[in-house]
Amino acid sequence: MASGGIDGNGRQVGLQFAEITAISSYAFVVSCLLLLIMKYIPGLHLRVSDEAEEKGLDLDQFFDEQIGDWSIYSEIEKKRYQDAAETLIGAREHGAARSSSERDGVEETKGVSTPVVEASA
Amino acid sequence: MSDTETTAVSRIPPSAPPPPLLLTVAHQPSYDDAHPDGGNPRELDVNAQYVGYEHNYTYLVFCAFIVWLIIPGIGLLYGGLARRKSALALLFQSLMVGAVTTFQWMFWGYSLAYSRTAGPFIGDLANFGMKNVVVAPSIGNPTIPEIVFCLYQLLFCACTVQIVVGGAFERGRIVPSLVFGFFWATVVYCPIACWTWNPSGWLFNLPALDFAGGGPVHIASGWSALAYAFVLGKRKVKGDPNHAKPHNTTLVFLGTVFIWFGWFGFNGGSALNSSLRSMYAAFNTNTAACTGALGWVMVDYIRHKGRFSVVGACEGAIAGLVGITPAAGYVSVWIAAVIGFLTAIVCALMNNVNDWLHIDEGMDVFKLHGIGGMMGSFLTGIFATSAGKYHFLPLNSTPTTKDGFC
Repeated sequence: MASGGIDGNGRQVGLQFAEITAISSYAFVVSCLLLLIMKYIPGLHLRVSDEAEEKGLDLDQFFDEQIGDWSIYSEIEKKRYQDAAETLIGAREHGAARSSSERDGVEETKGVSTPVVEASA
Repeated sequence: MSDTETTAVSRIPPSAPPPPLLLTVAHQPSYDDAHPDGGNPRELDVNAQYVGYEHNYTYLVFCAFIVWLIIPGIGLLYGGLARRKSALALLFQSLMVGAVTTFQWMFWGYSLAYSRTAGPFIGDLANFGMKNVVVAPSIGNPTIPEIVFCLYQLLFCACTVQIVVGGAFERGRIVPSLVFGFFWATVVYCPIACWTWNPSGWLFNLPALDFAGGGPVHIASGWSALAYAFVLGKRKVKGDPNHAKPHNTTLVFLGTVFIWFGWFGFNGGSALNSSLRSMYAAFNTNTAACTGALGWVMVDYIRHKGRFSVVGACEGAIAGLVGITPAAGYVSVWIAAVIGFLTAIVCALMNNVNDWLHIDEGMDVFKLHGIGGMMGSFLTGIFATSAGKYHFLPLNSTPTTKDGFC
């Protein structure tokens, strides 16, 4: 019968501790072993690459899906490319004075990108 | 007439042997070695053995249906807790884990956990590939046909695997997580389910009390998700301002609603019959979820100087549900309230457990299921009762493996 400490059966508390300890240690140790074996199986790759992690699991693992409107992503990408382009041009024009032109480039991009988005919408 | 019955029940002293069954039908189904599959439906009416007991399996199969909701519920909860760019993976995993685990369970999982010829640590392959799992009286309760029992337990396994893959959030690849799900169910869930619930299991005979899965479902999944996060290593933090912030609290709320609803079937069906004990367990489930939400919100309110968190309320409800899982059919309603409240408070105070452990396990699987599950199993040992006013045996119509006998 299901009697615990409240019924005067204090032994049950000890038995529950036995259950907790046994299941905890078994589950943790066996899961770790299983995952470590899987980690070193060539080609299985438990974890995504750092670039994929930064980009997000969804764009890495699914071929054409993500949560939310695609425009969120395309705008971020557009800005990133524009920043990169501006930095490149700035670096070519100003040579060593690269950091200051980079900052200008970002501001410029912000000014340019807003009307483009409005036009496309 | 009803007065006489009430007196008869209340007169039973706590130490008395179990009272005679209240319901006596001439043909109570029992397992027959000659027909391990329950008989050939061309030769005999296989339904006939269950006449008078249909309410048990009708109720249990309904519980199985609503337990299924927990699987996408966990997907929604985790998806909402993750950042937008990695949330879809968790939704996808909830469906795929259900699919992989169903295959695993049909292939050998059911047999490894619940075969009749099991040893104390793991089952054998007597029911490999669903062999003989048809309409014979099941091992859990002879008035439940094995096919219903198998479906119900399958969904427990699927929920558990889905809880574990939360440990891989935002950085684990999907294919290995499904391969891991198959083998984790095989070498971790099935043995532990066999220990705890198979009448041959060593924990069952100890006896360790576990009504609906504090050990096999919650303690095991919490520690295993911690192991998954530990082996994968931390996420790369690059000064992202939304790092470790839930991307969609509405999804967290929606997922919690599914989980709470599904848990009525999870605990409410775990007596493995439709007796009044099951109804009582369902009541306890709701009570503990509510006091859990209250407890966690209270901690939040004090810690954040009078402000709330929806995620906190959801996690509190889940902590309360985890806490009551091993105890739902063994305690009275006010004790259920205490268990839910205490579990949620302990889990809420463990807010920084991931920092202490230096493991990046941001879905709070270990906190809610690991720590909450251990808390629930411990409180079950303290509060389980078969004495006094809340003597549960008279609430049962047919003996099952969840009675706490050994």
